[in-house]
Amino acid sequence: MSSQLVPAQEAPGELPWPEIEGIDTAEARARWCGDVALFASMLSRLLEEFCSVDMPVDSRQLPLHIQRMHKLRGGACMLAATRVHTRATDVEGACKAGKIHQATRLTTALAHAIQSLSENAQPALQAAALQAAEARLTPQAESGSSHAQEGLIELDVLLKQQNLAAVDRFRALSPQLRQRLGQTAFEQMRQAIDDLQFEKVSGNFLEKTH
Amino acid sequence: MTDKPESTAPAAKAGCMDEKIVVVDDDPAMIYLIGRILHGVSNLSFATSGEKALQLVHDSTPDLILLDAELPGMSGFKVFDALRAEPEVLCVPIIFITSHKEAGFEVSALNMGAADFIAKPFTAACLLARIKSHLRAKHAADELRRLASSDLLTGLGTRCQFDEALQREWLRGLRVGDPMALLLVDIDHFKQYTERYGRIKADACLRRVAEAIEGVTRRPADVVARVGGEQFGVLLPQTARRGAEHIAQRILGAIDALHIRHAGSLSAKQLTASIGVSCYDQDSSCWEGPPAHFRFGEELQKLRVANSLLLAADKALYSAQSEGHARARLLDIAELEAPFLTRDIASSAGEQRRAQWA
Repeated sequence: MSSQLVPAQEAPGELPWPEIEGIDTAEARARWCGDVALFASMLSRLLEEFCSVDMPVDSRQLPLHIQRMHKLRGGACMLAATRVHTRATDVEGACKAGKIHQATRLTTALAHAIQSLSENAQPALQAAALQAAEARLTPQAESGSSHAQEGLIELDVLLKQQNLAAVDRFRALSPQLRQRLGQTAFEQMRQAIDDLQFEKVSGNFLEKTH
Repeated sequence: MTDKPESTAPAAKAGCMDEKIVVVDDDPAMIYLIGRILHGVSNLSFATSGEKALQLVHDSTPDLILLDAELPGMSGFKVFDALRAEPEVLCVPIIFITSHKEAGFEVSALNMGAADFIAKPFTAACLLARIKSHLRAKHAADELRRLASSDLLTGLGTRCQFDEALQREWLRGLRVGDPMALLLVDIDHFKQYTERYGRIKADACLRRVAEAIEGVTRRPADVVARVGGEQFGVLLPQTARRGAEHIAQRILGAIDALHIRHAGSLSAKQLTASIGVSCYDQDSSCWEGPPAHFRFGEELQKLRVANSLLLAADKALYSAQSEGHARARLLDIAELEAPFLTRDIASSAGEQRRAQWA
């Protein structure tokens, strides 16, 4: 079984909690408060960021690699991706101990673990992505022009404050923003907000929406 | 995200969105997860690097900071030190969150002053409980600080707070070349008032005078404190003598306008005050203006001079009282050794009437 959607008993989301080989289901569900969409989004982000984990050829790059392995270890741990977590911990430890040959060998095993997890998670990630896309396309009640403008100004304030509430506010204002910005600019904004790069969009979008 | 899961329900019940928490982590997943756990509990801002964290905290002081020990560029420990160097952040609990498991890492973090240390992976309930516990402790400490720094009777600042503000503002003023003025307001014949009308009325009288003084000073940087039994201090940063004279006149007027009967007063039929004003501005012979370079070694020397401003106001106050009370007199900081140069600014309406009758 590479990936299977099983009915969730406590998960509040519309999607059942997925069972993915390489992920400790019970731990993951508890840790992510039963939020399948958020879990899937973060797993997808991790797999994308660490799709390549080659050992650096230049030894001066080693500290950066250790830092990267540490980040992977932390992320995998929170996602309850047990095998990836163990392998990343091993690579980080070997690198820190200066055991480069061992680290190289362990990195290969880590790459396989990531690849395997990526394949196993695909069905669950696709289902979550489909649902997210459907949610984005669901028509929402159109608010008045002045009300929408107030909302956009509030969104800009939240973005400037680096306030996480901007993510929810953006979602709520998505129909108006898509209409005013056009599809391309809207998608760029959505990507920046999803990546928490608020500084890329704060201020700019207000001018374009006038 | 739809309904809240069971694990976060208690958070929502105890929710207080006034709390501001800053998460410093370069991993968006961790920021999202903490945001999910604290949903409905706090106002969550984030920074993905040490530099951004410093800017964010500088713009608005949070109630709590969650800091990843491993950050690109500036390490978590360096960010911690930099944050602690900000006076506003001194009382903000900083909690390290990390997946470091090395022996001694946790001890080092706690020894350097971190409020707590949370190891990854954490559970939502544990993170939430710890954050709430630290927020409760922080609010209790804030309340104690507030009580210690405010006069219980009038709600104004205390002598201690006034002295701290004087030292701080004096140094700041010297750095940027700002003038500064200080007023000491003393209620005339207050001992007689207390003897005649009793302690309860005397307390009420102090409260009303405090409100009157506070009503005159409206700028956020102005500091009003009760510095003695019936004496109030008013610190006016970025204020030259003309501004200070204006404030002194308005305070005399505001106290007059209270029309508090004082049959035991030796200077008027109603309650009056005497005010000593001191200033350091462009007209002061010792005025230096903004220095091109400011060395820390000089600061200690100049801190002592801050007390001269207080001393000059005290001499001006003594002069106002000697001249018959119910008036304001000014002494330039440069003329501290020549108090005979103290000059009249204004007198209260009661004193003017008394002078007319005489």
